[in-house]
Amino acid sequence: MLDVRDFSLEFRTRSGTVRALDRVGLQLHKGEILGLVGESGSGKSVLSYAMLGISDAAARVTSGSAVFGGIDLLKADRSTLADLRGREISMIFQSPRTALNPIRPVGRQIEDVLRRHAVHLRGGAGGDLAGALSDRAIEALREVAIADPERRVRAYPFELSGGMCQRVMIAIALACRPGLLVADEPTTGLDVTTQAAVMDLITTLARERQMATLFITHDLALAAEYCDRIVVMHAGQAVEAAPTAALFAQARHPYTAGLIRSTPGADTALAALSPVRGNLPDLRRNDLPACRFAERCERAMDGHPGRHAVACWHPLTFGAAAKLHPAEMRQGAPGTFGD
Amino acid sequence: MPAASTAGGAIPARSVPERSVLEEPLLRVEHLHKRFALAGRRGAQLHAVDDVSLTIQPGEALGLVGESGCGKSTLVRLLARLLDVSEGRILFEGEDLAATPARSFAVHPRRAVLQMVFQDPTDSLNPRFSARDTIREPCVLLAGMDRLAADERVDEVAQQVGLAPELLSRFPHQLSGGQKARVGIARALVMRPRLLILDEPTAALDVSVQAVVLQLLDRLRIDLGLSTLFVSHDLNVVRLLTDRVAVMYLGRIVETGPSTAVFRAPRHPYTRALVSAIPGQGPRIRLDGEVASPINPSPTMCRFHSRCPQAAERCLREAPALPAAVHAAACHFVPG
Repeated sequence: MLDVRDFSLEFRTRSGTVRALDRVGLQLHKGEILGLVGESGSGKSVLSYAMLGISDAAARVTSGSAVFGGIDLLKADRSTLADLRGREISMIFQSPRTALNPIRPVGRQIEDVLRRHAVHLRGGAGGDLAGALSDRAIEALREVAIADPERRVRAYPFELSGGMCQRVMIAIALACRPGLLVADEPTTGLDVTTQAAVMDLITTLARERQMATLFITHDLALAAEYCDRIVVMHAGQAVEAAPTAALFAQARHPYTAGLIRSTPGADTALAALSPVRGNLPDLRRNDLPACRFAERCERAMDGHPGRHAVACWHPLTFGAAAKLHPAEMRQGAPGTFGD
Repeated sequence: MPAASTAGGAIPARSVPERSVLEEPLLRVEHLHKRFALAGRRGAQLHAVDDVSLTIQPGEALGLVGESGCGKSTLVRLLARLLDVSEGRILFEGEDLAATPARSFAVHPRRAVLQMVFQDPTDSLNPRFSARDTIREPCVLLAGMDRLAADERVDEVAQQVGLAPELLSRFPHQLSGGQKARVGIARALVMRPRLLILDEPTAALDVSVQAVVLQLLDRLRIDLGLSTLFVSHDLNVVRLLTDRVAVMYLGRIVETGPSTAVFRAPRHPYTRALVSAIPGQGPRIRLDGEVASPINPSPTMCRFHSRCPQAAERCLREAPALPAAVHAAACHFVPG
C-alpha cells in the first residue's frame, strides 16, 4: 500500500543543515496498523509531513521514494498531492483544538472536505448539494460515536470537550474513506479513559474499512496495545522494525531495548527503570557516525563507531537475520528489516 | 535527614525529627470548597472543588489522579495558595493557611514551606533568566539573602539535583528537557520546603529522560524527608512514586487508599475504569454517557451516575460519602 525506501530529508537552516531523516524505509500494507515510535526529535513527524507534502519550506528531500497507489509522494506536484490529501491520504493531528478552525461549526468543517473531494455528490443528490453535504456531515459524526449528531454539527470546537474534538478530527479525516490514515499522536493531551476510547475508535474503523494506518507515538505502551507492527526511530534513522509481539519479546536493537526498559509498566519497580544513556546527537554535525546511536550505545566498539552501522553488528539476541552485512542493509532493499 | 548543611546559607536547616513524632499530619485539608461564579449567568456557580478533605503526613507521598476538568489543578492552586478558597480549611502544621488571602500570601511567613514544580519546564522558566538566576530568585525574594550566600545555596541545591556547575550559567534554550526539569526542581528545593507539589513534572519529557527524573524525585524525597503531592494522569508513574493515592471525579474525591491497593484492587467503579484504561491492563471497562455538569450540581445525587455501569435508582437520591477507612471508596455499592 505504502512503500517508503531510502528516504533522506534535510532542513537548511541558518545554523547549518539538519539531516532529519537518513535512508528511512518502511512498508505499510492494506488493513495494517503500523506504529512509528520514537522520542521527540527522532523524525517521526517529519516523515509523515513530508509524505503529505506539508513540510516546512526549508525541507529538502535528498534521496528515496514513498510510493502510494503508484504515485511517488515525494516527487508528486502540488495539485496531485492536494487531490490525494483528505481523499486517499488523511491525517489526524496532535491537538484537535488547534487543528480545528475555531470560528467554524464542526459540521461545516466536515462539509469542507467533502465539498473539495466528493464530486459525485453533485449529480447524485439531484442538485441539492447543501442538503446532501449536511446529511453526510451528520452521518460522519454518528460514525465516530458522537451522541446527538444533528445538534452537534452546529457546535463550535470550544463547545466540545477535548475527546469530542478529537472525534470530530477523526470524522473529518475519514469522511472521504481514505486508503491511508496517518495519525500523529492522536491522543496526546487526552485523559487515559478518553485516550482508550479514541484509540479504540480509530483502530475499529481502520479494521472495518481495511485502511492502512500509520500511528505515530512516543508511547511504547500504547503502540504495543494497538499496532500490528512497530518501527522504532532514533535520530532520523529507522533502527528496528518487527511485529509487535516479537519486538517486546526480543528487541534486537540496543536502543529499542533501552526504550522498553525506561518505560514504566504496570509492574515495574522504580529502581528497575533504566534510562537510555546520553542525548540525541546534534543532527547538524558533519561528523555524524553512520549509526547515529553509536555514541550512546554500550555495545559500540571503541575506535570503530563506523562498523556499528545502520544495522547493528552486535544485536542483543543473536539470530540468523540479525547479522546482515551493513552493506546489504544500506541498499535499502525490501526486507531491510525482514525477519 | 537533609544532606545539606547550613553552611553559608541564611535558611536554617530544619529540625524534622521532633515534628514527625507529632500525630498531627503536615497538611490537613478540611471540607475544602471552591466555587467559581459564571459571568453572565446569575446564580450559576461552577463547583470545581467540592468538600475535599485529605491529609499528608511528614515524609509521605500522596498521588492525585483524575481526568482533566475534575478539579485537581484547582485543588493544587488552592493548596499552593494561588487561589482563594470558598469554604474550608488548609491546616499546615495546625495553622490555617486558607485564612490568608492569596493576594497577600506572597509575604506570609509560611510562603516558603510549600513549593511547586510546574508541568512544562520550557513554559515555566523565564527565558531571560540563566539557570542560576532562576534558582536564586526565591532566596533573594523570600529569604532576603545576600548574593554571596544565595549563590552558595544555589551551588548546593544544583549538586543535589545533579545539575553540573557549568550548566548554571546557561539559559533555558541552551538546556535539554531533562536539565530544565532539574532547574525547576532545584528552584522549588532551594527554600528547603516541607511540602513539594509536583504538577505533572514529567509530562513534557521523553521516556528515556523521564526515568532519570522520576528516580531523582524519589531519591530527593527520601534524602530530604519531603512530603510530596504528586499530580499526574500517568497512572503508572503515580504508582511508582506515591505511598497513597486520591482519585478525583468532578470535584470530589471518590477513592483513596494505599497506591498498591488502589491500583491492584480498585473499588470505585470510576477508578476501576481508570485503571483498566492503562495500556496493557487487559479487559477495558468502557464508560458511556456524558460527564455530568459541574455547574450547580445536585447535592443529593452521585456525580458519577451518568457514566456508571452500576448506577441504580439510589444514586439519584443520595450522594455517597467517602468513609473514613484506609482504603475507601465513595460508592453505595462498595462495602465499608
